[in-house]
Amino acid sequence: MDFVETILNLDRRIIYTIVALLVLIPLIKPFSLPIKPTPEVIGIFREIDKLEAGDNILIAADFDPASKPELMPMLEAVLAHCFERGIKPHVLTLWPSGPGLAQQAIERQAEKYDKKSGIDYCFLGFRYGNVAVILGIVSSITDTFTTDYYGTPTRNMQIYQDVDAVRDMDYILDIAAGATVEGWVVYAAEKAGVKMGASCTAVSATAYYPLLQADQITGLSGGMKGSAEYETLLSGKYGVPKGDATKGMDAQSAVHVFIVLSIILANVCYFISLKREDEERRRA
Amino acid sequence: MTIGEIIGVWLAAGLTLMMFSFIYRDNAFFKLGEHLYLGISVGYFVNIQYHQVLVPDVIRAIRVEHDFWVIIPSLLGIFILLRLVPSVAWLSRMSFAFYIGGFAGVAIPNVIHGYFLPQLAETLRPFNAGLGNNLNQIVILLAVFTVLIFFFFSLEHKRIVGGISRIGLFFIMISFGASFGYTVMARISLLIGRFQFLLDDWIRQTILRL
Repeated sequence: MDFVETILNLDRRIIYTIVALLVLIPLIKPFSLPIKPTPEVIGIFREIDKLEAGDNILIAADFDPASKPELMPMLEAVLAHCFERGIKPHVLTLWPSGPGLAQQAIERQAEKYDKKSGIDYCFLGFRYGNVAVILGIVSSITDTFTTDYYGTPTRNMQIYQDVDAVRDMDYILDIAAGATVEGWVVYAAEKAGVKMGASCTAVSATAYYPLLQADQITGLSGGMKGSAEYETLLSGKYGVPKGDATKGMDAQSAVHVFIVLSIILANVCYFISLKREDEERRRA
Repeated sequence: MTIGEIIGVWLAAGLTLMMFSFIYRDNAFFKLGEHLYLGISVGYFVNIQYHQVLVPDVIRAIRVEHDFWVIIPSLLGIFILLRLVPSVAWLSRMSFAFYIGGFAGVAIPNVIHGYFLPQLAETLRPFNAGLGNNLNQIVILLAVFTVLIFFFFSLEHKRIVGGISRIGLFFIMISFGASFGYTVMARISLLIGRFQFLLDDWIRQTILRL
């Protein structure tokens, strides 16, 4: 069997092993490739950075553990950004499997910045109903979320004395693993006239570019790369340590180079094999 | 790390390796991990629904706030579950009728106003925003028109219509290519996430510290 045939009949487990090594080696020994923030991610960072201390931001953590590596770093970075600037985040999730991760992120960042629940931030938790929940908080947050995640009634909270609906928010950010971004744009941002940004898994990023093109969202962060760019911006301006997304980008780049080379090599070998078959047929 | 956390990390690491074992071939460990994942997810889902929905929105509303209006939507919710009982399954139709009717009423004007019209306006933007933007606008218009023709099946895709729909297909292929590239990135990110967990939480935090 020559090289072309070997490549075309390569055992998939060899490819898996190479990919595993290309992920593992940069994680053990990073080579710190530069991360250049794109205008899409800058669009979110700039809007949040423009807010003043005491302003409110609604963060929808609509993702579950399956998207944790892509979106959890974004949630942590945005929360750190808010607390760094004295902005009050109101965090909720429309995903039943989302509260656990959101709780981890908000408690970790609140402890780091010594912020108090009900005063500096509120973790509203989960309510079933997707669009119904969005429409509910467009009217009243405290009526829709009568208690926060920990069971504390929201109506008496200090944070809800001056704000009670989406229109009182200064920015909305949906960190989404599914198709909730359209819902937030249509039923919250457009209805209440509040600017919005979206952070999504890489798989769904292409679906949201039309929203960005039409200025329905100010920025778009796609997958782990988007999160790494946000971490880079935050680190550059406020010295906040970079998180897991940045650490993963070397491995991401290494695997991408391997996949691109593999696609080229496999295609070249495929066309060579076609040519050979053609020649053999002609000879026969 | 507490003993509980260490046990949790070992369990998670073991389950991760069980799932990875599928890369070699389908096996009993993979099946066990798969079924555990399904069972735990359902249990977690039910728990969250009870504590985050039923307790504050129904039980607390009736018992503490004496808001008896919540009985009506609760009943409609129970009717949906009655689909499992054939003799009274018809009751679920009332709930679905209410849900579909209400949601359509809410969705249609909002989606037209908040999604369809802004996207339409963006597609039909005037050519007065500089050369680069105007070129972008031409590409967008061309893509929208040709892709719409591609999905227009009332005319046979031959001659001019066939040619235009082939251009539409070209744009669709570019879109699929971009989506596939992003999908590869997403899947590699998930692998990186698991490897970060195995290296940091499992090997560095539990094994090397023992």
